[in-house]
Amino acid sequence: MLGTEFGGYANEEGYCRVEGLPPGQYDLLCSHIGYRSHTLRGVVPGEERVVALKPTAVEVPELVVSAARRSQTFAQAPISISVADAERIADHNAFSLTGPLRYVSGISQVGNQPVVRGSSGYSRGTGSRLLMLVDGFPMLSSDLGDIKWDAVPLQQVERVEVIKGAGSALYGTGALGGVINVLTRDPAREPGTRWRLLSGLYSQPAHSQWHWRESPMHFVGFDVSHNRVLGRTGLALSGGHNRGTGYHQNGDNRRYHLYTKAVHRFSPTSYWRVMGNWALDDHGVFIQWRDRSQPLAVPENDAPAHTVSWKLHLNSEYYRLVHSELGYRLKTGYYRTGFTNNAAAGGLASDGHKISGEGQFDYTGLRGWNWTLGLASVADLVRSPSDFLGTRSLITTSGYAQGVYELNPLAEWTVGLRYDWSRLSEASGLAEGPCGVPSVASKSIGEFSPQTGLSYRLSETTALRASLGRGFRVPAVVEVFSQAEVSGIRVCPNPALDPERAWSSEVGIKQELAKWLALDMALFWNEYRGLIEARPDPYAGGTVPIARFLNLAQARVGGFESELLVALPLGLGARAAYTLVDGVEFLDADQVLPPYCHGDYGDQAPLPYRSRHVLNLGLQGKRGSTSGRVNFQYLSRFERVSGLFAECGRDYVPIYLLDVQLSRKLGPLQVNLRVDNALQYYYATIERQIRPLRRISLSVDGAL
Amino acid sequence: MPFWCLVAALALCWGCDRGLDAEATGQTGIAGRLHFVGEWPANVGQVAVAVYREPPASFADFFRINGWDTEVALGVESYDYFVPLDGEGVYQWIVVAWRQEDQFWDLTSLLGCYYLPGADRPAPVEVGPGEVATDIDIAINFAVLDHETELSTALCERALPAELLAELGR
Repeated sequence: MLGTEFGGYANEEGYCRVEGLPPGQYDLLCSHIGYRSHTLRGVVPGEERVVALKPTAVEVPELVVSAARRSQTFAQAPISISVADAERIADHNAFSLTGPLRYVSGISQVGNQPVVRGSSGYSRGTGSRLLMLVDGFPMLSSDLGDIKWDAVPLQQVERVEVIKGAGSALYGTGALGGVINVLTRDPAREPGTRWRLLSGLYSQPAHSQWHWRESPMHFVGFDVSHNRVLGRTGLALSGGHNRGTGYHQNGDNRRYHLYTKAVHRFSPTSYWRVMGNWALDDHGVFIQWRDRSQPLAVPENDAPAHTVSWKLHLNSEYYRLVHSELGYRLKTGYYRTGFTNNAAAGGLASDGHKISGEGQFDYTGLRGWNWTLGLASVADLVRSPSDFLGTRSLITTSGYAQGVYELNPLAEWTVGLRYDWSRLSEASGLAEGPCGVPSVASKSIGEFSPQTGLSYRLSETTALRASLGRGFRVPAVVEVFSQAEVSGIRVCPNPALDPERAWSSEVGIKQELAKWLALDMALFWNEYRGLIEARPDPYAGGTVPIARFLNLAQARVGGFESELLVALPLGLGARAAYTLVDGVEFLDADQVLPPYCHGDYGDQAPLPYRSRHVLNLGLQGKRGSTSGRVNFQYLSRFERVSGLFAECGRDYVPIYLLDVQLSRKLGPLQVNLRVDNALQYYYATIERQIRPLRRISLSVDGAL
Repeated sequence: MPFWCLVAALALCWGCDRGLDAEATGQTGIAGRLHFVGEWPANVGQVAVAVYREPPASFADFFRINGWDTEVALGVESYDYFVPLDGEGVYQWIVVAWRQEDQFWDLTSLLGCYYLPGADRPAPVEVGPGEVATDIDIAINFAVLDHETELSTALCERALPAELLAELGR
């Protein structure tokens, strides 16, 4: 039921019944795997409708919720969205979402950090330019402003929606380059107990000089989950553990996680959902390789480097459909993240608390308009020793409105506006000494984020879209207040740091060229202002080397993205996705430059850590109870890197990755064999850190 | 089918183990001995060796360190250092610096540098690919801290441009 939280599943005869709806008119989206979805408009309770779905050989997502904060069809979304479903995620035999996201069209990776359409380079574990949401709750850490991948309950993920473009008009700070919304499954859908065992090995590198460990580099993990329905309440519980040596020295890790979710339905039109997730990660720290001849080993002084981090996420959501034209939801969330490093890893520690509350109303009573209105508030509280971050807070209060106007049955116009008011705590108590930062009063930041978009279905097989929106990111606490010594350089606070800002635009088309061929193309153009980078500060005065986070880069990223889905004979399916990213940084004559790699760029330079060309090719097939998938990825060599290391771009190569996967159902068990980086290709995406070697994994899923 | 399996296996074998630095090289670096003369100050927090391909020409260039050894043992008469480097070439400024406890690196706390006997300027060191340049010994006289004599540090600073020295108040 479009625009609401409700719907139903058809039985084997295709009969579906949705009960208890208030009087009014509803739009129903009917979909089934292997068929083109169809929307029934103006359905009233008590009415029985019959719909015949037309078969199609290519599968595209049917329903998305992230583009407008309400359910809508994939073709209605005015902005590009990619969707990874649970099956695709499970195929990766992964402990983290970063692997499965790697093959989503328009996404590349720098380190473990996903990058959407070249919107960010490498942020060194701070200040993500992608907003991460779990069930709509913000999940960027309060202190570092980064994504904690182990805080995502991977085994409970139903699907992941990735908005490719600025999304601050709906989601506020952080949605500069895009939004990743992880949606967890409804506990009532699959009652029972399931388990998964996963184990595997990394291949030794071909060069014996690179060996850092003679015994196998391995990993092992398990997950158990239980779903059941108790009266009107659906309940999910799960937990797991994984550990391994990693593929490089200090790659050892031990991780634990627990998860619970309960959905209580007060009536057919209202529910209360609570979710809790806890994760602990105890692992070695690999800052940089020992040298080029031993890229999998750390410098001897770094060998004891170690960190422990923890995450706790609690949230609650109440939703009620008051009548057919009005629904509302009330949300509260708490997200705690913290870490402590030992002395060899820098001796830093921090504890961050994010407390959020939100009320959202969906109203369709105005002729032709669907309105989503909301008020939200987020408090980020950070406690840390005074020689690192100190005790800081960032309070953000927001109001937003988004309207979708049905111009005619085929076209929709979207318009939205959000205002965020943030207050950063005062900068007093900063350590005296080389940083020399005086006390600064608390700082307020106000940001308007408008957005508009148009979707137009030319025919049953063709949909056009266009959008323009603004994004911004308030600097993370670590970027404003951090005082630390990193690689021999003192990082000092910068209370004057301003938000990063962006304008994002695109036009696109979805076209079903034949029953066996579908195409999605988009042209995008994004402008960025005041991108934050850590640089030496020559204006600090004195004779002490100091670096700060500064608002520096003015940049533009334009490009083209296309994805072709092909249904082949013999049950085979193919996919080809290509993204061209043309990223340019505008250099001012007096701009603070990094120490190395200045190049001869004049006033324009390629944006660092971006691959100009990204190509994904996939082939999948299924015969009986056996299925297989082969994926190939090519990323062109970075044209420019940070300039913080003397070797500049010497250690960067074009990237060729081949992944192979074979699954078979053996009675009650699902067995999944996978080889990642099957070609054992050696490459780096950040300085002095080699990416994973060939990884061979086997998982077994079963039910009790 | 066996034919295609063979083709796939050959393609995999041909395509494997490529990418970054498939030709592994030996370690590149500079090694030598630090000789400490005189009494160690009581408040020394850290001593380090830093290697520069080019002497700094501006304040920002002091960040352009090509390699370092920050684990110099304190209170000893001599210390064998090793600075791993990320490539071959000529390194023109090899210096030793110190910092006091609870203080950060200060460019005025230069202790010494590598120079040849009788020379009045720092000496460059050439390092070949996969080689370690050895016997790059440096003598440190703690008398420079008493400001009674700054001969050795003055020699080291001769590699820096006059404008930068003026900016640093030297």
